[in-house]
Amino acid sequence: MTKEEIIEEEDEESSFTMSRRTFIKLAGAAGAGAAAFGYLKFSPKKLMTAGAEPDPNEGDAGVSMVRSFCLMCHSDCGIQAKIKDGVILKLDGNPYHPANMDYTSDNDLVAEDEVDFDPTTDVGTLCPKGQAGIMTMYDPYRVRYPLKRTGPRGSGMWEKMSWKDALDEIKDGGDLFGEGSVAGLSAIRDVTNPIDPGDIYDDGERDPAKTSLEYWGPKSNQLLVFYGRNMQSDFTTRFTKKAFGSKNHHGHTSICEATQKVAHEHTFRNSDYDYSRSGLDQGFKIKGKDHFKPDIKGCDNLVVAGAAYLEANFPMQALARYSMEAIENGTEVWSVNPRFTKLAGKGSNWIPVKVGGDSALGIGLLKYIIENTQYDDAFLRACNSTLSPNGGAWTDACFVVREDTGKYVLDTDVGLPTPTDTPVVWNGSAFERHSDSVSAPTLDYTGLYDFGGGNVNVNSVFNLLKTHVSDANYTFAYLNGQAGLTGLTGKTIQKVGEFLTETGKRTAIDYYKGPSQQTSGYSACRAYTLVNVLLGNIDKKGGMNAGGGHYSYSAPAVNGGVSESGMYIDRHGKHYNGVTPTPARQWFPYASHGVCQDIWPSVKMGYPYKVKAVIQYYQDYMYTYPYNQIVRDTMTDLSATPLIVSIDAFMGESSAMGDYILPDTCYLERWTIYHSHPTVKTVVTAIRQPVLQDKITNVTIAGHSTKVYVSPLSTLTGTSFTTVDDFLDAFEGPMLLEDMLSALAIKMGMPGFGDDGITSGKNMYTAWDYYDEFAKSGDLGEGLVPSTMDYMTIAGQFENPANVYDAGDPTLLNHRYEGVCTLYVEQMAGDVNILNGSDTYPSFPRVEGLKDIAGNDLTDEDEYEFALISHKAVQHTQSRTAQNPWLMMLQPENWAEINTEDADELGVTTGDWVRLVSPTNTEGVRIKVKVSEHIRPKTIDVPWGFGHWEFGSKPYFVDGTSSGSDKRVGGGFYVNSLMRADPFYYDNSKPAASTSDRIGGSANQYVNFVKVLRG
Amino acid sequence: MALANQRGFYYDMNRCIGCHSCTIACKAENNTDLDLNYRWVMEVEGGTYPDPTRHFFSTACHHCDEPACLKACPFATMDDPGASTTGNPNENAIVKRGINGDMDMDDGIVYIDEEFCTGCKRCVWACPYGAPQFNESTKKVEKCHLCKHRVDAGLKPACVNTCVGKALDSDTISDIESNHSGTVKEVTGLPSENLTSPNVRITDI
Repeated sequence: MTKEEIIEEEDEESSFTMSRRTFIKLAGAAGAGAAAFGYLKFSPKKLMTAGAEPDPNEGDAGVSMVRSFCLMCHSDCGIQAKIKDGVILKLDGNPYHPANMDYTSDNDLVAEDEVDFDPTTDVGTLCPKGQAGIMTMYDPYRVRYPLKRTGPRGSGMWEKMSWKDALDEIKDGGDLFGEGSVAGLSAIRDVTNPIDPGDIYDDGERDPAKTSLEYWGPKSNQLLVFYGRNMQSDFTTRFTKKAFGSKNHHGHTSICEATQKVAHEHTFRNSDYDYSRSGLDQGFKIKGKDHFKPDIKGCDNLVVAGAAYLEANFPMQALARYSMEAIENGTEVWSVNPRFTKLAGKGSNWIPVKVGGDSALGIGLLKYIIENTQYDDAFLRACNSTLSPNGGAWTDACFVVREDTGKYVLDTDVGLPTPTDTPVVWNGSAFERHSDSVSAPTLDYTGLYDFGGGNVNVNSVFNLLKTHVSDANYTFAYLNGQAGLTGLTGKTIQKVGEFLTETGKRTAIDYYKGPSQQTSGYSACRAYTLVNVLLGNIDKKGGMNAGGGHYSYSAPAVNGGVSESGMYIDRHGKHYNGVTPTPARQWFPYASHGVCQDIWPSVKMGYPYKVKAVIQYYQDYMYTYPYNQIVRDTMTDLSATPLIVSIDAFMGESSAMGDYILPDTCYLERWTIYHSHPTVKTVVTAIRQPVLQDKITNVTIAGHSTKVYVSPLSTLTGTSFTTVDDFLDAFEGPMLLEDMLSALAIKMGMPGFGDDGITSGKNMYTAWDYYDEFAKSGDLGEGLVPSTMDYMTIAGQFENPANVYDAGDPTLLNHRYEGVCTLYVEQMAGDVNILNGSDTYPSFPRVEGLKDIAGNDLTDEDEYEFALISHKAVQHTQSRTAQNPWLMMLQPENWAEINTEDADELGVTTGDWVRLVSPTNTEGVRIKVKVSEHIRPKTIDVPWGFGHWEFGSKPYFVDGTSSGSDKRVGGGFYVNSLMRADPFYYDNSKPAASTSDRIGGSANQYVNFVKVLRG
Repeated sequence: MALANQRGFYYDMNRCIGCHSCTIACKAENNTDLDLNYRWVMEVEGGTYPDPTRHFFSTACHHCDEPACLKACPFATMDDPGASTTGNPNENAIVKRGINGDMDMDDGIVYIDEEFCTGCKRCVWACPYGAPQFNESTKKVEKCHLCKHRVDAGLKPACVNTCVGKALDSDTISDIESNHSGTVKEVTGLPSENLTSPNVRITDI
């Protein structure tokens, strides 16, 4: 049979209807025969022949419960697995985790049996994704052995390898594919010599004051470790940066929320900010609190802009439970979103802002609050912590700024005695250090001061902001209406302002991904954040703060590691300072969370230097990138990407394009120590552990006694191994990320692994070694087998969830930020975009439309009149949920939702086909239409998570045998290929990224335009 | 002929977020066939831009006082409890506990006894709520049994346990009515309560 015939036949015998226990039975039987058949073929048929039987109850004989936490999305809620006979029967919510349940404990630190619920019968809630996670574990299309491609990249043709052979080839390189010699990781790992000049795109872009080694870094930087939802990042940082010596350990944050994090950090910055401005890259060093969330249950009036509480965001369950309780108790929730979200349906008002209008709406709200003197005067006047009416939080509103430089006026500048480079405020008659006991700082100050060269205008930050929002361009007439960016009337903007400033009400505005993922995201996010600062709600009941945080813990230190140095592939955190006047691509001095959408095009371009090997982990950029064509272009370019190794439990779209796949275990089969999110106002340390505890196996490797997790899909022959190679040869099947990378590191002789790999003198061979030591740190303290504490039983350390408010002052949250709230981003003053001298970095948020990466207006899209947006349906997360039959059953495919008015004009009705065409994708995407009243006109919403073309939706072949497949995994439509390639690159024939926020670094995922053609 | 300790569901439409957790919890608990759900959530969109509405309705078997399924079943009868007080002595294919079987129980849970179901689908046609569903694999009908295996062990049904918005509960009808005032048995879009006297109590929007 041909490959195509096999695929066709398998489409007929889909596995979707198989129950998981049938699968397990089958897996057991097939597992026994696996050796005889070589690669195990999974093509199970529809096997439901008997009536379903319900699960046994918790408490029944032979039923055990193991608690952990989830990763079906990044809410990280607690889970509780019901297990019998070595099989996970059901996943519920861990009742001890505050994301899953509200309860009270007897003491501040929750203990197993000192709570007001019965843990033998009460469980926490769990969303559909979380419950369906059981199918991630038992998915029949999981990658089961190390694979090496036997055809061209993306051909779907693989051969099975042993762990030892796969790791040896990756380590040693050679003519691995019959296509010429490929450098292995050992050759790349040179931490002392500079990158070959021939591998550097333009050495004229180097800071001439630095050597090539100092500036670009050592050859080891030519390994790129590129990950997605990596919750083992402490470990992968250890491997990549501290042991391998590559700076290029990059995550996915900029296709998620990077800009909102940067806006938060710039507003809620660390108190050790260096006012002396000695470093050019001070901007990058502002690492403050990166996420605030409202105290929802304490709010009277809450505005939610571009965040979908009941569908996504995190933790979705806590947001939903708090919101529903709050609304029942009288909280009014207004939703700002071009889409009528599920939250909008529950709230009291929907503000259908135009796509891309958030910066204008945010400025409009600041303008309303200032011009109607609705700001919190006492809070803004608090120029230090002592003066704070909010239990510690204070602002720079009274700081004085000199007009000529845009910098804060320091005590040094105005001749105060014993100066310490500290900003000053005006006290009505003189300057004083803001940190002194100022009795009456002037909020709205303007004056003159002679710094030595004649009088200079000096103004308080608040005065500058007041002037800024009074800009003639920022009239409500400009902000509103057809020609304006918000698409709202001035009256509507004022109504939102009134809602947020209603006398006697606790109010807040929350936002998330919508405002963040636009080219104007930085200003949009800063504006919304500053609304909260002006409202003075920071750390207050019903206000915003960073949540309860976590108890102390720290990752095991590296014994004898190397220091990363040089330049990130995505040039984030650096001002361009080269000899060549302008760099060939944009640099991102303020994007402290990276610019991942620029990484694949940079790799394609060999910029700023060539990459020699890529390790992908827990990511699927082929699917998740906006303008994803660039990923395929790069991954099929063997000179740009000589070696691609994927660590993945599944045949994701990206893994399918690589050279090797090293099969990972799933999230129910690993350890992680992590926190919760700012939505939760009490302290949380959450512990993830393999829920099938009997699979944790005692072994001895090279004389070191440790444990390894052996998945039900894996086998380990023997328990004592003379060498790491002997262990690898005895192991078949998926292996923990930490176990495989530790083995590789030990074989390569990397520091931080093997004997004495951990600073404390401990050996570092396995995930167990790592997390046992991790759990001996800080407040956990007793490792993975605690003798006196119950944190492994309840899967974490949790503070009494009732401790939300300050016992002494219940108008304040208990766990407070207490730091500075910065209205004015001083270090941006005078700083300009290196590619465009007229594009300044904004110390205050500004109204901004769609721009390219150089800050030029993109106004050539008039004929593309529909804005293309998307949202996460509650049952999906990014790229990793569509393989789950229960979730796809809820909605087999997605659609393009358009307003009735537009549908009438186009002459289409629900179920009709249209073609969406964009400036980048002129061929377009055919998709079915859903006509509704639930979306702003001239807007198209395509729910995210559908339209996979790998991931089990089609088979891959191992040694000629099909993996089996189910085309329903690929149900629905995928539209990222419509997102615009940045014309700054595209028109200049450079490998293009999607359009992006040039400040915060986020990819633009919401302001992309398409034409709608019939048929 | 309401039983004193009749059980049923409570559902608050205001608090339902339409997340489908209940549907999936039921699947996980009862190991149902992929395309067959004992509980499901409907989404009702209405209104006109810019003032649209969206409501959810989570529904399952309502364990009615006058179950149309049971009355339509050729292999079950309401009025023959039989001599034994336990089990299903009269081989009724649909049992209402305490009425025509399981006479030691008085919670009125309605369940299908797979042993005696012939898959004739009369109950599927009769139920105004669409609760009984035909399983193409087994050629029998299945439906929500209020997780009687859990209720009998003093536990809540799986769907109730996992309800993220805290919209769903299950208890005796008398306790539901004393805990929640102003509930109704019928909302817009649902059939008349007079058809079957359903044991669901709803807080309407």
